[in-house]
Amino acid sequence: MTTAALNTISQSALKNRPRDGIRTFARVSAFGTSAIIILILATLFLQSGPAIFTASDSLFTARWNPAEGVYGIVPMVFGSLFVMVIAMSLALPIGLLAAMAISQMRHQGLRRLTKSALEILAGIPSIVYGLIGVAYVSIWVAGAFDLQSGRIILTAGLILAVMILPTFLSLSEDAISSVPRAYQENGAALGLYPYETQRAIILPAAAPGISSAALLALGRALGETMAVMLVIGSLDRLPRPLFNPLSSGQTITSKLGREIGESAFGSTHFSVLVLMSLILVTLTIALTIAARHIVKPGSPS
Amino acid sequence: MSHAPHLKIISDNDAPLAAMPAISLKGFSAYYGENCIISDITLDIPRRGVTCLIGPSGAGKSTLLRSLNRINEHNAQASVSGKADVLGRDLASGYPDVTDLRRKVGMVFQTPCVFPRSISENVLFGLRGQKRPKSEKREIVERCLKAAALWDEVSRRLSDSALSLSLGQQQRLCIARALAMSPEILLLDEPTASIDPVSARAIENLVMDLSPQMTIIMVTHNIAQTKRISDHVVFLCDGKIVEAGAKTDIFSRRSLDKTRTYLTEEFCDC
Ligand SMILES: Nc1ncnc2c1ncn2[C@@H]1O[C@H](COP(=O)(O)OP(=O)(O)O)[C@@H](O)[C@H]1O
Ligand SMILES: [Mg+2]
Repeated sequence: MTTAALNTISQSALKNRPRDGIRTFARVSAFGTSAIIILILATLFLQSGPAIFTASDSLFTARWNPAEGVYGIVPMVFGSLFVMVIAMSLALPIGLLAAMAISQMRHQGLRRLTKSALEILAGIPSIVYGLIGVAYVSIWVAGAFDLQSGRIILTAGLILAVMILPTFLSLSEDAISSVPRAYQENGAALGLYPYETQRAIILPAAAPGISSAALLALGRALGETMAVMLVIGSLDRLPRPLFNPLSSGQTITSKLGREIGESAFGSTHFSVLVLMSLILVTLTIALTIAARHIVKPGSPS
Repeated sequence: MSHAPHLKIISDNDAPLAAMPAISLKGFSAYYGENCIISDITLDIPRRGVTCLIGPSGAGKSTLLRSLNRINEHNAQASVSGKADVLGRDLASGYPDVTDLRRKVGMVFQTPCVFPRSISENVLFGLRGQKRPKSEKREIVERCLKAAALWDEVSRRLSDSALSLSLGQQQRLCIARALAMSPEILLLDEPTASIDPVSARAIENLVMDLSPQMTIIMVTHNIAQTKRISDHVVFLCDGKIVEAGAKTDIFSRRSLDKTRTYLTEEFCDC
């Protein structure tokens, strides 16, 4: 889409000399963006080098103890993925159902009100969610599952689900609403219930938009630091049993948030932290590319 | 393709059919918000045959049509009042499940809108959720596409996307899709207005072919078309019925001055 926009801009620039400035600007922006990405990746690569050379024995283990020079990052990588999966598997179905319901609202005023409310929710700083998580959610969770502490992976997943829901909901509602209304009407004229037309026509047509909304949500779920750090319990170990969401844990981001400040620049410790952030960035980029290939834009027109 | 015999099937003195109208309106009004679009009309539409709904732009033809299968309920602004019977049941209370009504009263809109699916999936779209053997589905597709005068053009590419069809073909596919539901009434809102003349003629012919078995109510702007295909004509202007009757009466010197003016000059001062 961006390429198309650039093409349109450069085409009109050919006909229109004063628009040359726009073309240059577009090129500089495109080049600048790519340059920044490359710069970030290069820095992360260079800084994580020492980790790979000095800590390679322990790096891919599940034990973390800098005092002994043991830097196993597996618990953090696992924690990030686990929390992300919990959050996504709660937020996606709920968000999608709610988006369908909102797009069905006949009362346009109410629909706009709901949308604005969602946008406000999406804008609330994550520390606020973290506060609510510490003060209420973790206590409820501890009570519900009869635990000593509610600062566990499940709580982090719940808080994250709530945090990514408004953005995902709002964006997928946009995608659903941008499918021509005529489909809904033509389906209804054939005696179909609204949900039948939605499932068969509207959702497939909105799929590219919904998947990029999901991707954005996923990026936030992987990258969220503050709220997760406050409720996850910060335990540098793999849960036992492995997929036990009621155990405390650690994500890459919560680890970085806690320890970047206290590790000396250039030390092995620091370098391992950088390596973890490199893994996070690579993961996000890989998921973005994968999602692009999974969802073929079968847009109707 | 001789259509002349069909014209005899309904007429005002065809007692049994006229006695049991497909649609019967008494003091019927339709509104968008506060605006009264159809005001207090009383009208019987006979069973079977083609009833053409004519009148100037903005007369409320579409609004009337969209009230008859309650598709206007999708618009929160729209409302109706008065008495309306469709196929002997009250429009509102007789059809607690509105999809029941819409399966009996099919509708095709002015702008063709096929689903981004294959041609045969489009025909079968309204039958979703009904389990039928493949052979029967194939039969339905063939029967409906033949009835919609599209079979010869698409029989060899039924699994192609419906979006690959021309606009005129798409409109006939919309008709085929509606026919697959075996409706008793078919509402057509200017079905030929946005397509090419050849396809328009094909649709006119298929409408005439269907008319012995089905009640067809067709909105049209086209007087010549009305003359060619209608059995009955309803002339609507500014939300009121100016005149309604058999085509032979409307297109004769017995009709009202206002009607004759509209038929000759396509102009109406009401
Ligand atoms: N969705 C709508 N909301 C409000 N007013 C409408 C709507 N659709 C049509 N109208 C109004 O109702 C009147 C009749 O429209 P319509 O039934 O479409 O006329 P026709 O089909 O005879 O040209 C017009 O004045 C139009 O402005
Ligand atoms: Mg109209």
